[in-house]
Amino acid sequence: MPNSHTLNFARLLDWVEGRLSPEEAAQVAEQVAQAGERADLGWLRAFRQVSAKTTLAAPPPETRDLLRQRFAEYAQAKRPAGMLRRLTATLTFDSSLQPATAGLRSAGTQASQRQLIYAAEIADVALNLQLRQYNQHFDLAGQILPKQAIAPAGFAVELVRDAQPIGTTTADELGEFAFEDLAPGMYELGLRNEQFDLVIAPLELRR
Amino acid sequence: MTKARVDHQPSSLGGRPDNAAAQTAGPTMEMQQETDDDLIRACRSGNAEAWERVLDKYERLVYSIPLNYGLSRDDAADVAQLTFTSLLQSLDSLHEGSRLSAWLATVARRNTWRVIERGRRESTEEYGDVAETMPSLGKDSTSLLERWEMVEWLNHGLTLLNERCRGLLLALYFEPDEPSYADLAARLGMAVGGIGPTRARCLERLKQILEER
Repeated sequence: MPNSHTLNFARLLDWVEGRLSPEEAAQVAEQVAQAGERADLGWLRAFRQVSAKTTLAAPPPETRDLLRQRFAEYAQAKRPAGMLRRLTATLTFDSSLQPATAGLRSAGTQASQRQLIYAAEIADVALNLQLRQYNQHFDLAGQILPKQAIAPAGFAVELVRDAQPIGTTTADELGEFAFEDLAPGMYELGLRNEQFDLVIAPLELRR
Repeated sequence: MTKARVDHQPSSLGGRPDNAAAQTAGPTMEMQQETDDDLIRACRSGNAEAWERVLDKYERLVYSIPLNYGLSRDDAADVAQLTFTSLLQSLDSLHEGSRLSAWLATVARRNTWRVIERGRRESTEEYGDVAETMPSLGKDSTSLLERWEMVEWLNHGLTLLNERCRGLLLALYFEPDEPSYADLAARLGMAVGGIGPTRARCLERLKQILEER
């Protein structure tokens, strides 16, 4: 009976790793014997030996958290002293506090969406919170709206929970940014460029 | 609009949403095209996302060098913290063309040996018998390969793969706890039946990469 399988790399891999049935393994062994020395077979055996003795693991998440903090300290130290103004934005609008309009179809969706507007001296920040029904987590979409001649693009946006940064991104040319899949709870949102450090705290994500 | 995915998993994301593979694999295809010089410049300007990408790309390398010398996970985590902190301290003085992989591997190795010399664990064994197999893997047979060079070499090859291949091969061959095909399929968003053929294609691609280096 002619061999129904070509002796290709995948088949050799299965054979070297012992994933073939005894009959298939015997068939491959015969093919290997007939084919003579093969470079890829030698490579596979060597790789198997090396990988068995080599670990390439990811460090625990605490290591990443600590290194994030170290970088934040490094970046802070590089800023020219006295030039960064820290501003706290205050909540000026919360759609969840607005009365629902009875009789309208959109009333039912108000529970899954919430709009917030925060105001500071230099800019307003509009936030839209969208509830994911399947896991009760939130998607946050925001936009920084400068009141002065400040470019919205390039603001570094950082989301913090329990004093730990959990996400960073950068506002685009329209000042827009987003974070996905946020668990309910209390957060702090920081928006930072070379001159200003705008803080929104606390930011409560709730149904 | 620029989006960021908040990290809920033990492994960190590189800020790339909607891709489960990225959670285990680290750097994305786009980051592979980003040079070390790009990353260094961005970090110098205080770009936290760039620093995340540095960690995505190299944290496995730095953490694994001490592990492969027999250090405990706690000691390896200490070595990783020390090594990346050294990088932060040296960022402003790194010259154009610096290879972060080699720089980090060298510093991690030195920090590892300091821990060893402090008496936590003694191991002077070199990668003896495995070094003899290096010609078969495409590595220069004239050099006696130390463990840290092996880790750096393999890690570099893996970073040049796409996310799915990298995640798959790391899980199957290099992580301490090898998951089942079912767990792996769920983690990577693949069909269980696709794991086998994909692993062969990915391993063949890794072979090509390592032989070119």
